[in-house]
Amino acid sequence: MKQYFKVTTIDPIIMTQSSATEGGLQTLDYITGSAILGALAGKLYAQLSAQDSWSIFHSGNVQFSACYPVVNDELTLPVPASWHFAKGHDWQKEGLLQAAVIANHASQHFRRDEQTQYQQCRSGFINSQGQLAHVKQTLITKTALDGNQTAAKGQLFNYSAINAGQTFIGFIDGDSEQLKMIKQHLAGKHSIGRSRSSEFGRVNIELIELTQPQVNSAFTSELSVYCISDIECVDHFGLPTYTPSLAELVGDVAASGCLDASRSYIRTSTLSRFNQKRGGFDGEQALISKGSVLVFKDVSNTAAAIAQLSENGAGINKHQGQGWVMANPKWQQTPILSLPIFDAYSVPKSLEKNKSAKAKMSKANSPLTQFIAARLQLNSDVKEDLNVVNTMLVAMFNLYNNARQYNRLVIAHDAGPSSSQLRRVTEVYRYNHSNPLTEVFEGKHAICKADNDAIGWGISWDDGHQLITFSDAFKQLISGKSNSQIERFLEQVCRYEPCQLKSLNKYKNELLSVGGLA
Amino acid sequence: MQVSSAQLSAAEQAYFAATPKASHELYQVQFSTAIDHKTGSAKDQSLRSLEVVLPMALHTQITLNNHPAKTALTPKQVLTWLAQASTLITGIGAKRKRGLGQVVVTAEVSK
Repeated sequence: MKQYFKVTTIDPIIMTQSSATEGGLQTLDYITGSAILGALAGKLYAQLSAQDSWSIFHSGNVQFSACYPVVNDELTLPVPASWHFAKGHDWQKEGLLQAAVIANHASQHFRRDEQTQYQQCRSGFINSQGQLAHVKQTLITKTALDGNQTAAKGQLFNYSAINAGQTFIGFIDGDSEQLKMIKQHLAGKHSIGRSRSSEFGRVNIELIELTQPQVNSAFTSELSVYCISDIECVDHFGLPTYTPSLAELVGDVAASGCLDASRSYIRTSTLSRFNQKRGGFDGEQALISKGSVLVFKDVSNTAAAIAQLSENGAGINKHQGQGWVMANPKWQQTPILSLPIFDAYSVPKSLEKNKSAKAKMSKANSPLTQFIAARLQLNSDVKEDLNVVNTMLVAMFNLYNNARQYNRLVIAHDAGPSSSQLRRVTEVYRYNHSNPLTEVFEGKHAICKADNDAIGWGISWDDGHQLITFSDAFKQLISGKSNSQIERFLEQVCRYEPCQLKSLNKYKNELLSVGGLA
Repeated sequence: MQVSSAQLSAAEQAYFAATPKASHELYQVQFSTAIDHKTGSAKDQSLRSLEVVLPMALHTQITLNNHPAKTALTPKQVLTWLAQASTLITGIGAKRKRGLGQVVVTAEVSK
């Protein structure tokens, strides 16, 4: 009986690939079954009798599966090692498996093309629709402190970790009595992985129901075993083996079938688990890696073997996350992949309720968010002002240019108001916020007065309809603009002496070239 | 004892996730120079900058993992001590003697 559960990471979690203590360790992209076993044992061990704790945590009767990522409400499975693609092609693009370029070399119908150099698919998790799981990871650097509370020398640590907020699904398989005890303690918050006392490792576990894939009933004498997790096998002498017979895999002497080495794709690894209670490493385990595909020929009772494998798993040490297999998966029957690739382990849609509940969460209204909102508003205002000022700068250059060209002034002569005259306008805008326009343009003592200033404010040209003075054109230019925009604009213009041709050209080159305005 | 990372409240996290560019505004860059003792003006080649984060309220969770068989301390006792000790934390992070990192830590028991 299987109890499925969903693991959601609350903190980043560190699932190191190796138990070595040297730095720069990579994290796994899934959660190991032994991590779940450890978390549960921490809560349950003290309450159980010696016999119960042996049967749950040590005997291998209870299987703690690895937890794999979820994509689109489906549990993803490791990419099978029998899948190959022609070298130079991409077997995945934008998170989607490219089924057209992939060939399943374990299929009996596959014929090898001698001209093609094949490359194995060696990483990743896929769902039945060929979508690849992307497990977000992060790298965190820490230092130890010495007695002076400064960073200690030679004590820089890098942790790579699985990010918070991601979901994984796994199961525990045991008899109903054992599951009853386990279920009471499984749901809720747990800490798993490395460095749990500081910021890492918190996960939330929820019990869920999954729709399980159908068990294929086969009528041929061939059996393919697709390793969803790592598996560990021993031969009839008790020695570890990477090439088990069917009897060794199923753990039943009655099962007969021999491994077809030419069509099996077996990848291997070894590991030594650290036993915290004993303070030392366990013996080395020789594992057939997840994703491996084992093909057996001349199987006497295929249906029975399939039933045993899907019910009990394969190999030994199933409590440590090993032994999860799928017999005769759907993709195995053909050399070319077609969708759906396999019968999926899918999550019922009722789980979606949580998402809508999250969306209803109260809106943030703290001093921090108010401050940020004000800053964002200010930024957008400044950006808008900048656009207005840029168009004003272009228009201002045209005023000076028109005045100069219409009156055919020689290079040495000035045309239009000088920068000191413009600076007086700036002063007005800086200090008279109430009504600057009147002070600048109206009355006998106005700053922008066209009278008695024939080459300054009074210089005129034909704008296509009538003769217009610089003063009037300037008034049109700044009317309707905010004080801050005008101030900013004049501040930039007054860096130059625009009435002189040389400085006007400099103004053109420097100010108008910004943002491609010139 | 397990200490989690200090985080913004869930509502604030949702605000920053939903508002584009808002997370950029959480940081500011501060510049500083050294003063030349002879001239009293800024020392050559001494301009440096430091990215700092705005003042904000962050929440961290402390979990006690005490086994009744191994310790006589009750969680309540430990939490009282933690609450008392947490007021002694006045600064975290770098440049605490340069006006940065001042914090007020308060502890409360969550249900």
